[in-house]
Amino acid sequence: MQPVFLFRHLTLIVSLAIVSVLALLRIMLFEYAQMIYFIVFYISLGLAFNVFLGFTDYVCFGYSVFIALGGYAMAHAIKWFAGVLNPPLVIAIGLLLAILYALILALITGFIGLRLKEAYFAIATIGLAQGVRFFIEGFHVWGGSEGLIVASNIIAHYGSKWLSTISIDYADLLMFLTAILSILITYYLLNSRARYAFMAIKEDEDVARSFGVNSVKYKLLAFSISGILGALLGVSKLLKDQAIFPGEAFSLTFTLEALVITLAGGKGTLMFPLVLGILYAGLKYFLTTMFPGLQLLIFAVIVIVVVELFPEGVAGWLRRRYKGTLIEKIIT
Amino acid sequence: MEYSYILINILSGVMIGLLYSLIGLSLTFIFGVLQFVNSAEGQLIMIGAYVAYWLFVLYGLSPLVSLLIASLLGLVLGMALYTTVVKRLMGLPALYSLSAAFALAIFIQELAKLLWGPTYRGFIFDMGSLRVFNFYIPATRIWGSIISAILVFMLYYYLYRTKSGRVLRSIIQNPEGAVLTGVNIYRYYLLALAIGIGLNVASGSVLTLYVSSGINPYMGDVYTNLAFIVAVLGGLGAPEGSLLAGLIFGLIESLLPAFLGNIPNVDAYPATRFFMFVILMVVLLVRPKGLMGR
Repeated sequence: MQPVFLFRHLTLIVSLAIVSVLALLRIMLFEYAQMIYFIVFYISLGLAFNVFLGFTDYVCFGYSVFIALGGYAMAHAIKWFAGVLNPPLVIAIGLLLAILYALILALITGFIGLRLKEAYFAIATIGLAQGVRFFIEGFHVWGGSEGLIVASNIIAHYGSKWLSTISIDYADLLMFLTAILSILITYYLLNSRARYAFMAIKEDEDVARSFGVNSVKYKLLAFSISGILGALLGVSKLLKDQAIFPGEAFSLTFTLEALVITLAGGKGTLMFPLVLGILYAGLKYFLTTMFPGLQLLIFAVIVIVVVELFPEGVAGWLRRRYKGTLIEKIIT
Repeated sequence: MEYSYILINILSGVMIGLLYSLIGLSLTFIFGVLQFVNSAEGQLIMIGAYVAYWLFVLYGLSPLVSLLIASLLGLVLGMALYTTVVKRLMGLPALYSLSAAFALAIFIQELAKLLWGPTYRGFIFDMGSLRVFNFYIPATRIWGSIISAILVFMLYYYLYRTKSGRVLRSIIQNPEGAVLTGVNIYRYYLLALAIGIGLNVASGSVLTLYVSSGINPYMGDVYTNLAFIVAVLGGLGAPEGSLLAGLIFGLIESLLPAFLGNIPNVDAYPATRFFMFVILMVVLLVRPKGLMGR
């Protein structure tokens, strides 16, 4: 077992190394900052989504809600505290708010949906994005259908120099931190005792329950963590865009993208969603320039093809290809 | 508020409710037989609406006729979907069929955008109107509700009065038992998906009898959710419940805006949709099996 244990560390080391290389590139090649941000966003998106899907086999189709909530939380922090506190403190408050919003939503929907079978949970979460959006638009809360724009608040209170610092440096830093946090959490879940509970739940939930595994607790845990990581993504995205509009924020695009990355990579692994996140960012960049407007169509087809032909993704394919060798054991 | 106003709202609620029953029914029917959550329901409704639109604009066909073409298209689509997508998913964990259905919905939506552009389209199809109290009810709506009722009735007749319908019900109740008694279960899966998608696309054409404007590639999401709510409230996989649940939602939808509209700073349409979501969550919390679920 010793080498296997070492190799588990290896996946963590390689993952962190990849992110460090990206961070180094970000510092050295400033002209590619936008591109690198894009890549790290998809790494984090895949890993954050994977924490729930990969460990429980439940899918949250309303995942974009968490990203949107993170954005709204940060927008609130800026609207409420800009001028009162230092920019870093405002961002810290925004982060706390984002965690709070995501946690509340995850606990409510999770408590209702996660006690039920996958189909019911999926139905509840497909409605979730629309439910929250119609709440915001119908009752004119949080800026209603016009959304929230914070750029003017930042300029008015801190000047335009802070505006670029926040949108470039702070947003990028937060995105890197979210990616690292996602890697560490995935790694921890893969190697802690909780891993066995998740495995049991995935295999047969009823049996797991009869053996004393509190399945709802573990599912809620994974759902909340995944939701909070999504909200952190949203915080960084808001600092980058400095505006949030309900029409875009609650669209299903992010959910579809996260599904592509996680399923094609191999759900429940660390390395594969990460690598797929990088590949996906490249593919999306390529498709956006080659076939503008067709990306979603193509990604929908990819999801269907992956689900039909390679349900276990690249990881599953490699596991089968190298069955019985050391490589199979590395792929955790 | 006058009584006649409330009465007319109840009437129009029942009329739209029949369409909702039809929409929920096709979802719950497919789920009951195949355990496949058709989250492309709304997008297929969108296809049906486009069929009615194009046939009307290009050939001047009445939606009452294009309805038949839409249901035939749905039958073919259902069979194609079964052989290409759904068949392979049957034995796999729910995660896969859910993801595939979700991607399918986006695929149909983006395909429609590619083919017909993101423009909002509509047409005017007038068949006169009927005067009730001081209100005029468009005749197309009355036709829409009659056709919805007929389609719902046809499916019930098929399920409860024909031999192959009885086989389908046995599959809903216990697929393994059905296999043991010699049922070629895969043939019935194909049949059920064809019927379900046929009804689904047809309901899109029926929809244009109620609302013949605002046809666009992104109209589907709202109807997908509506179908979910009706199906879950009625009991997912229990066709008996959908009729009742559809009527309940028709009534809620036509009565709620009348009250919400009076509250300042509230938009009736999105607020109603939000309450529908709340109702879905409450039903899932209190009685996930639905009104008629087993």
